[in-house]
Amino acid sequence: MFPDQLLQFLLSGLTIGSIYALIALGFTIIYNTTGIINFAQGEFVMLGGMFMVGCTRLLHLPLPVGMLISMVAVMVVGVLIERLAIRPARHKSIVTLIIITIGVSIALKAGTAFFSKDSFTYPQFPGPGHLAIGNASLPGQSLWIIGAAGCIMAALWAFFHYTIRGKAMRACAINREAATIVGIDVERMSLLSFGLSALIGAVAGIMVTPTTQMAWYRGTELGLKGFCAVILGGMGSSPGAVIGGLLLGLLETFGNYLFSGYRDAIAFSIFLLVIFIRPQGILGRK
Amino acid sequence: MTPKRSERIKYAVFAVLIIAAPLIFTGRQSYYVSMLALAGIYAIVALGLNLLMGYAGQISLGHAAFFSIGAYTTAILSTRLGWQPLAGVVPAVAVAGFAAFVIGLPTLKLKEHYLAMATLGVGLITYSLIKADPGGITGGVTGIINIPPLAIGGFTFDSDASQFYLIWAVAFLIFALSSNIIDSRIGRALMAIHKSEVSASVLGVNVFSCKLQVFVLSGMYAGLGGFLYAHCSPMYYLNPDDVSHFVLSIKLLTMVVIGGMGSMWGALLGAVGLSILPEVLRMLGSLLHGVNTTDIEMALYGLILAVIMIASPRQRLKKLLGLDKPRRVEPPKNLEK
Amino acid sequence: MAHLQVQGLHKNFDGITAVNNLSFDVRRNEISAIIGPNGAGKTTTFNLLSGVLPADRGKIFFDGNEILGLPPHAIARRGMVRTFQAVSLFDSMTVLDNVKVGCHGKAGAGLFSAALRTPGLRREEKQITKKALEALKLLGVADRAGDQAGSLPFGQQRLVDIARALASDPEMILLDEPAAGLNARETTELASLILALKNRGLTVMIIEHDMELIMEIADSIVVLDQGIKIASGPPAAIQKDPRVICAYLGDED
Repeated sequence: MFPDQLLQFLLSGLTIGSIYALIALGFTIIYNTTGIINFAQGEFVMLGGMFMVGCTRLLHLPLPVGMLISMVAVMVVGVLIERLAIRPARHKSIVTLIIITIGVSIALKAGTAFFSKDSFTYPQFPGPGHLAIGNASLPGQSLWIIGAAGCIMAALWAFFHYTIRGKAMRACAINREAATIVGIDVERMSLLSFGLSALIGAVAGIMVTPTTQMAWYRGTELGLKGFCAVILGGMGSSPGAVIGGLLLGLLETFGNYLFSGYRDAIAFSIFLLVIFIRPQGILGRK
Repeated sequence: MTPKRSERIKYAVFAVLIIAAPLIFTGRQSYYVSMLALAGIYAIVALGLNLLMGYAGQISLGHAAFFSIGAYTTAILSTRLGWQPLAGVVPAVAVAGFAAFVIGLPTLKLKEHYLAMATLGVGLITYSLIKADPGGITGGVTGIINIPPLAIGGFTFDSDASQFYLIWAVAFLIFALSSNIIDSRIGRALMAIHKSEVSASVLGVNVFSCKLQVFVLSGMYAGLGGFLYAHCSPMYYLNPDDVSHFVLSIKLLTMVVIGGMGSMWGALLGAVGLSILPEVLRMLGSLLHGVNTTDIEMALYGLILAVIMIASPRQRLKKLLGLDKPRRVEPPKNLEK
Repeated sequence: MAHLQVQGLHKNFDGITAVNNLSFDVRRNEISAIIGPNGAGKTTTFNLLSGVLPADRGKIFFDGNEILGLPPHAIARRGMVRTFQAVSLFDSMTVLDNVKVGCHGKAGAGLFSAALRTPGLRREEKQITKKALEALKLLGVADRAGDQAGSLPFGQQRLVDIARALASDPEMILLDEPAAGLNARETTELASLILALKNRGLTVMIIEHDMELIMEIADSIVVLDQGIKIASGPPAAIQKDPRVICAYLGDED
């Protein structure tokens, strides 16, 4: 492989990896705060893309307004899910909670299909068409994706380290019982975590739409990739989610070059391999 | 121990209904017989999934994968390699069971999430592999046509009624075998694992091995279902959307949940109920024309799953009817013989 | 040779040492007690002995064989069983079925013979039922065999819990605070029950806060404080040991 080609793969891998990292962060935030794996995480991503398409194509709103409405709308969906589906079942078994979130995910998917069964392509967001780096080129949308992912990560880091709510969420992640004892409102944190994850999912969905097609059924696959990233990085670790996401993007891109056409199978094989060899992931503790 | 009297009555009613159905729906209504035959196939798969979910407390979101592995294995053997259709049952069940073994081996040592995600992934990948058909054996999106019907000793199962009887005879058998498993050392161990893995393990239960066994068994049931489907499907035709789509996995899951996890009769009723549902929706759909019933079907599965798990209507109903009293079983006597 | 030998057992949790270089022996067919203030590492020790938690280092010999690192079910099958402080019966199952789970390791029927109800399986089931009923009889709760386990009062649940552990005919049983939550009468009954177990040839190890009970039934005592063994010996000697008095009552100065 030539160095230029290698660089090109690296750039594409980092682009899609940034999306996976965002989805993985969404999983991690909810898991750390509530102990739940949210099987509807991928639907947040799908809804983010679809709302944005709907706002700009159907209602002809300007792109920034469409983005904003989409983010708010998905956040509302996340909050409603927590209120209506998760909170009433908080103390039930893991299996019950898995079935609830998968049920919600299917209902969201079918609900979206009800409105539109089309696959939407979307032009790349305004900005430079390409950025030449050496002999490789980075599409403008990749800049948007990597930039947005970077901003979200920085904002999350600041939120978790400098705000009282963020610190409370970290406390929940370390020990939920102890957090309750020192007076942290765990229920409120749960609500916040769903809202936050939904928002991050929406951003991932908005950003990824121009590079791929967005449709009602895309959520499951994107969610699964995000979860693979979580497992790769180490369940419960935010830096792990980022590293896992980026690494998965890279591995998938290189793997796709070697065995073209088996992109999804690659991510999944990595998932099985990781849980076989190192179930705690790269940064996770045993 | 022989089954209790109430159980025996249930078995008798079950048997009578099976025998009666094709005699009731004749002529123009014989369409219902093939619909109920399909319900029997789903019932076999749902019984296995119920062993896994209802008893062992593990969850599979990709049982369609094992179903399609069974279906495609036998279809390929009988159409491309000229096997006797009946002979396909062994490889169909074995390959599906082996697939479950490979998935279960790394995931069942870990929390329930891992098996759920792994099966979800296997489901999606099996579907896309069958569709992409890299080896040129599954027929891709067009599927496999002209699958021969089953034949035993000169008798060919090619009518709706004969297929119905064959399928439900197998379902009846699977039901009895599964009930026996529940009422055995392994069954008790599974229920114990569901309540507390640690408690079960210090009592000498090899938790991982029990979970793996039941997962492989449920994969094998799904493979058996797939086998029957391939040889009894309408037009003797298989395609990836019918046998390996995510929606089928969710449909199977919903059958178990709606029937009440941990109830064998419930899984059976759930399978029949949900198999009739599309028909009911189609009837309603012709009233509200223009509405796509498949979307409604999927949305309904999602809502049913979420609502039943959140609100536990069965328990509420039992409470309302005063049926939630702790039961007492007469312990066996005269063991000294 | 001692029935159970523990050598240099060590367990850390996130930098806190729960069990620190612990060594002790339990002789065959004696009742041995672990006592100590809350957080002394008693239950952690049981968790390490029964394989529920992995140890950081150390050795555990049961019947002369190293058992450290074996999974819990393998340790149970070798004849060392335990109960937990919090009784956790499989509450939707009957009392009898609960105790039958205790026979799991002693039986061998697999899925295949279970599905087909082979004559061998029927024989084995009969055997299991007999064993389970015997265990329930020993604990005096045989009349509740057909009840749903969750419907029993707490005291009886505790007895079923012990019966369940005994159903596999173990050589040694670890009891974690069996008297917790029992009233005075039930505690007396428990004491005579534990002595009866000893008479049947079992080795018993018990964690208990009820000192009266311990002094009455124990043959030897291990005292833990903050994961460290501070004393061990027969009850009479332990009662007079200044280090023990200090750990329990705090320094008077």
